[in-house]
Amino acid sequence: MRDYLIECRELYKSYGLRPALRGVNLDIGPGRIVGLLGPNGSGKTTLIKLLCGLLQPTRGTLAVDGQAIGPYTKSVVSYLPDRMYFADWMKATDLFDLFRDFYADFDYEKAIAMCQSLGVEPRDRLKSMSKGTKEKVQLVLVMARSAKLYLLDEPIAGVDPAARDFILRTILTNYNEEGTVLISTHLISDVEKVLDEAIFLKEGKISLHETVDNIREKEGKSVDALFREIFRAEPMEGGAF
Amino acid sequence: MLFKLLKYDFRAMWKQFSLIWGAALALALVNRFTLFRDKDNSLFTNSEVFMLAFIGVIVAMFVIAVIFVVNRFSKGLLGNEGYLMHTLPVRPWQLVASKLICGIVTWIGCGAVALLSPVLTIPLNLADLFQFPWTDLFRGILKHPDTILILLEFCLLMASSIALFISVMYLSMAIGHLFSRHRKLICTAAFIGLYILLVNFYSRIASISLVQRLMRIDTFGAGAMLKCSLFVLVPALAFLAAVCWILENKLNLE
Amino acid sequence: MDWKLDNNRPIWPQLSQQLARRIIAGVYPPGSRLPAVRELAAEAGVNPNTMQRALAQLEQEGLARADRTAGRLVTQDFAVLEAARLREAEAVIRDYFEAMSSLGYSRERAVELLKEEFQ
Repeated sequence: MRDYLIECRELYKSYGLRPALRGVNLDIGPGRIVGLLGPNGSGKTTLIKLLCGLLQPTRGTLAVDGQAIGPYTKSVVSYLPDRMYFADWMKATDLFDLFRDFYADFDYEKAIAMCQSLGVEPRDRLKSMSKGTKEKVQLVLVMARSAKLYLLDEPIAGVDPAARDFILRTILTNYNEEGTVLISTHLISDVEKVLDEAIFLKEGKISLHETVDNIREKEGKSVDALFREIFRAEPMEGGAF
Repeated sequence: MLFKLLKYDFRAMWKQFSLIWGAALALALVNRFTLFRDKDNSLFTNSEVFMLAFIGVIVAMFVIAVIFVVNRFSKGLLGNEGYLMHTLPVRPWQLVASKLICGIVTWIGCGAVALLSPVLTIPLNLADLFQFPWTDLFRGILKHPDTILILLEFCLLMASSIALFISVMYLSMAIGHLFSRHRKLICTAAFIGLYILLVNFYSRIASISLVQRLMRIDTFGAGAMLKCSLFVLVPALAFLAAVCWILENKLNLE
Repeated sequence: MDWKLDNNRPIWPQLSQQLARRIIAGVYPPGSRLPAVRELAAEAGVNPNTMQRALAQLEQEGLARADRTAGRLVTQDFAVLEAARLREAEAVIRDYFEAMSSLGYSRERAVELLKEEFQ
């Protein structure tokens, strides 16, 4: 087994002239839950999209499970995007069929069972579902896979606190324990209990990568408190790093 | 993997076109029973209305077919649905090939419906159909087997022309995708640019003597259309290669 | 019994302490099987690795032991359970005195008040 599931070296990404990532070096091992934390616009979504191949880096290299991004890495990555990505005329079961066709690690029965526990009727058309229900379907699609890497982009951003707990519990009870879960969020107090490691992303660079227990032990404060401190410290900081 | 992709593309296509094709054929049948009946009726009857509706449906069908091909690419690969398609464990060329094949089949289907519906409109009855000298027709075809060959070549030429047209649309959309703003405008400009490029390419090619000799009208027969298809397919493949390159290396789903 | 976790301190010692209290209180009776790591983790809303670490701590304290077939069993050694109960009791007493001291009572006065309350 290799040491690292994700390896990034000097990763740069800019949109036109606007830099989003500015030299990210990152190693993440298997079998852990990692929080990708940062304010809006710090590059969280960009990093996740690079990892799942929706964006190409401007410079630098990245590998998932030792391979450059391609069909192999896509077959072991389960990605929850920050938006709806399916055609409305489909039923949830149509999507399950599609996932079963393309991903060898998709568990159809598990998906149906998850739907039942989440109160989703899998034979309903997506068009007739509420936004929250569609999000649940998308979560089911992602968590019914036994992937090596789960990339969850803001899974709890748009929902009320009660549903947040529910979603986190669904993730906790369903992810493949040999795999790694990378959760991007700015709602730190809600997720910090489930994390092994925290990565602070600040203006396109990693400013901290540490286990959460170490943070609490060393700093004597919660990850949330440390986050607020770091990101409040220099409110007027400009582009010069 | 390509077959699995095709399965889903065709399902989406059928979803949209089964209704349109069905409507076109049904209207043709309605016309068959209304259009040729009460000739002496001088007043404006239903038949004109049906005829107009029929023509409308055929025109609408082709417009929808163009929009369909554009949408399947722009929304399906470069829009929100692209989040799903590009995270599937497949190569970009497979995604493009699947959409392209589905697009070609859609247009051929529309063409078939457009040809078939006027036939349906003609008030033939079954007895006439049986009296038609089908056996002579087959015998004739058997005597001149190149007829079938020419027919096949014609189909190939049509398919390659459609492929070329679709690949021009794909490439202009892919070029538009390279920019972060004014994508639609750039896409339209790219389409016009590629069109001019193609026209130039063909007029240049036509002046080359080797090509002229290849395309001589007196040898028009088995080989000529095949060569034509080749000349159509070469730029189409070049454009598609460019599309795949852009999707592979420059994909930018913000 | 709810899980009360303070995000300002490492989570796993809090988990192992609360698991120990559950064992002492008989929520998990002696000799019974503890729920699976994943189950406990989901219940507490924490990472399975963290819960694993807390359970390993319980094993070290002798309150639970790993069983090949049945996961983890609560100890039946009453001496160990009694010792753990006493440790927890001492912690409660310490907390009491600390709280009283912060209210301005001397230790002696705190003991007296406790006795009065008891009568």
